[in-house]
Amino acid sequence: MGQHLRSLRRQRERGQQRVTVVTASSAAGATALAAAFGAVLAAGHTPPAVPSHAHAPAETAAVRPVDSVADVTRSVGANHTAAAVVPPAGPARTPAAAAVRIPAAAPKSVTGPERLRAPEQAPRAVAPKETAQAPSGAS
Amino acid sequence: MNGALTLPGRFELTALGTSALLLVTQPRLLDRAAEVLRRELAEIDRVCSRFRTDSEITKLHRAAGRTVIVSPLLAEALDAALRAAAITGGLVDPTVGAAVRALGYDRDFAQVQALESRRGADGGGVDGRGSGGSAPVEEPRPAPGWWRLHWDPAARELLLPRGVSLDLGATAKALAADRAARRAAEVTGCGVLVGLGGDLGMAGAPPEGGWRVAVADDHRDALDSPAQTISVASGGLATSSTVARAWRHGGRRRHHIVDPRTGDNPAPLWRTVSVAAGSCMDANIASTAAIVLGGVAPDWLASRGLPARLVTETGQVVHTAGWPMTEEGV
Repeated sequence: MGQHLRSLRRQRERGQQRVTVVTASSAAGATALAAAFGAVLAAGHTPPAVPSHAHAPAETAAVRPVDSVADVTRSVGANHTAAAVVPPAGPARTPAAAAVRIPAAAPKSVTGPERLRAPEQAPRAVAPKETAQAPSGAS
Repeated sequence: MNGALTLPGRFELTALGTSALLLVTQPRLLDRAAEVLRRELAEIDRVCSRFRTDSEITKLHRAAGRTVIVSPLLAEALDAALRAAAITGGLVDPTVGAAVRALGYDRDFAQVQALESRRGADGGGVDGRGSGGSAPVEEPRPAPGWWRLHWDPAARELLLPRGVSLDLGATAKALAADRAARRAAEVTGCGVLVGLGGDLGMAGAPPEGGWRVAVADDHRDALDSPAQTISVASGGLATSSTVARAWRHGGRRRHHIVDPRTGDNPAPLWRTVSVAAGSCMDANIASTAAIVLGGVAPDWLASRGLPARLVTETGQVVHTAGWPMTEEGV
């Protein structure tokens, strides 16, 4: 009986030590992580290329001239071509808000094609000097 | 079919809070097509306008919590809106009504602008709570979610849960363009293009060489200073942008595109996205979703075979899926 009690006491002590070690290593880990992250920031490794005014909609949203053109050419299926230019990385999403928006069950009642329909022909470039017939832009 | 040099018949009017354009390949049939367009636009406005106290959708909101039978046109608009939500995984969600209002778009946009200009002198927003105001600004409201609607399309029965507010603006305008173009082409037998605030629906045989379209951030500037001129033969073309239809609210600049997941404007990456698709509806869904999607939008569009032109806030242009590479002024 006495031996059993001593065994239990040793187990409890070992458990307390383990808790202490875990806590200490977590704190140390957090400190190390913070230091490493600080170093990354200090080295100028900023998050993905979201425009610098990403977190506050631009006060000056005036139309600016186009200053470069890139093409993402990708056909579905065969003849798959890699993107010529990697587009700017997107803004970080808000997982908390997104997480609560998972539908409990998809409605059964949606009708119509299940995919967005591509055009029969892609648009073609025409000479700028030709008179345009219709404008497309935001309203 | 008209010759390449024959200018089509052209008719313009103001409707749905924006400008409407009608082109027909047979100018002598313009009046008949215009009559169809006027009727379609009036019907869409009567049914889908959230700013009219007598619209069907306003009455629907008053009946929240009860099952109601909706008109065939509202049923079509609901089908379109729910399909948009399903296809985009909720990136284009009709239940953003409260979110849009919370951002300050709580009346006809002309009134939003008028209020803003009246209060702009003292730095106030449309609600008078500009950057200098002390009243708390309403927090963004994530959309309740399109799946909360109980919709039976066969019976045209809808149960709109209490607290769920619909805004069909994103899809109703595109629906109107597609419907009007299709009906006008049926009535006249000629090629028809209908543009509503820069979103274009086409039906019937196009003019030789296709419909020539000037693309720009703001459709009002497109004809005078296009960023690009292209031709489109059929289907639809839509442009979504954060540049137009913007206002100040709570000391911040806001625009009409809302991320349903947050109830806020998406983080600014693309200022304008133009998409060509099999219909104006699908083009509009894709262009709106692309603004919300942010950086992955080009891949998202390309994987669906949708030709698109995306312009970042800083003016970089990305093309997908066969959109012509020409850019004017580059």
